[in-house]
Amino acid sequence: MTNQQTLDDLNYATALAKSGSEAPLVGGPVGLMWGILISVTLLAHWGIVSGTLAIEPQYLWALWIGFSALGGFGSAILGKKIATKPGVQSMANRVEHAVWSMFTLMLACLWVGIVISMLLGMGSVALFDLVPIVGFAGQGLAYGVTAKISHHKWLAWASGAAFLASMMCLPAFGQPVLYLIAAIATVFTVVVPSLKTIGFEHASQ
Amino acid sequence: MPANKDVQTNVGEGSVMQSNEVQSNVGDIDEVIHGRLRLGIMAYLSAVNPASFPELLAKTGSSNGNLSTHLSKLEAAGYVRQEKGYAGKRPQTLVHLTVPGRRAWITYLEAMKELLGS
Repeated sequence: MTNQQTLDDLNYATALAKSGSEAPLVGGPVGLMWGILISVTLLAHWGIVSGTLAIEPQYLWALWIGFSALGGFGSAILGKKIATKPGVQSMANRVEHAVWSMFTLMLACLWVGIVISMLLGMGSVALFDLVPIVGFAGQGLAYGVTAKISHHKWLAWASGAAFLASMMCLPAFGQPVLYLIAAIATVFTVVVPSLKTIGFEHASQ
Repeated sequence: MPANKDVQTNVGEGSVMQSNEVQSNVGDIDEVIHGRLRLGIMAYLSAVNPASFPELLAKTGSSNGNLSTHLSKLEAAGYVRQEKGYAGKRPQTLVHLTVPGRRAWITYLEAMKELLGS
């Protein structure tokens, strides 16, 4: 083995290490699925509570249970596909997976807490308005952490947009329009970043 | 230790290796890692851990048998761990870089940096 061969081998190893550390984020399809689902569900929620849709508000439970079931099913299907993608275990992808899992858990805890409050007769339906407000703030955090680890600066913009959405939703607390704002904001904070993530992933192949 | 010998000889040709310090660094070069494919495997696993067998195949451009052979050598040294399992209904082998493996990889890189004088 000559010095040149050794250097060539080291260059080869460096290229492989780089391809691993710069592996694209693979969670785009899951984000896109949730983004579309959340936007549509929030829009339907707004339609029901504002009276735009001729559906009784008691069917909101069915709407959100359907949302959870569809989202869970879609995540399971897409998750299986993602699990076999190259680079899925890179640092950035592991961090992204961890922060979004924690985000989901946080919102689920909030939701269960509200349901328990209502069952104990200590809460009102308006408490559910906290979910999108806290949800956008959580998104901002998740995107911010992922941006830092993955070095994708545009994710920092998504993070800022999500924090902004949280601030914009707060003044609408208790009003039907909150859900319309949240539906529109979700397009910019989830659908667009997910499409961009998918675009980056395809470009890197 | 053929790999060590080769490097020692050739570095000597290029830069006249005289210092004892540099010579001792040559001794630090881990011959288990020092081979193009094994080097590539360790490099990729240092960034993506674990990686599936097909992923390593695609990234290293190696053949199935060749990759298996070299993974076995790294596994025998305790640098990687192969985990046989299933992804859904399909069999899947995941290759993990172990803690001693990561340590050996860092030591190897330090030794090579010293040796090549960069």
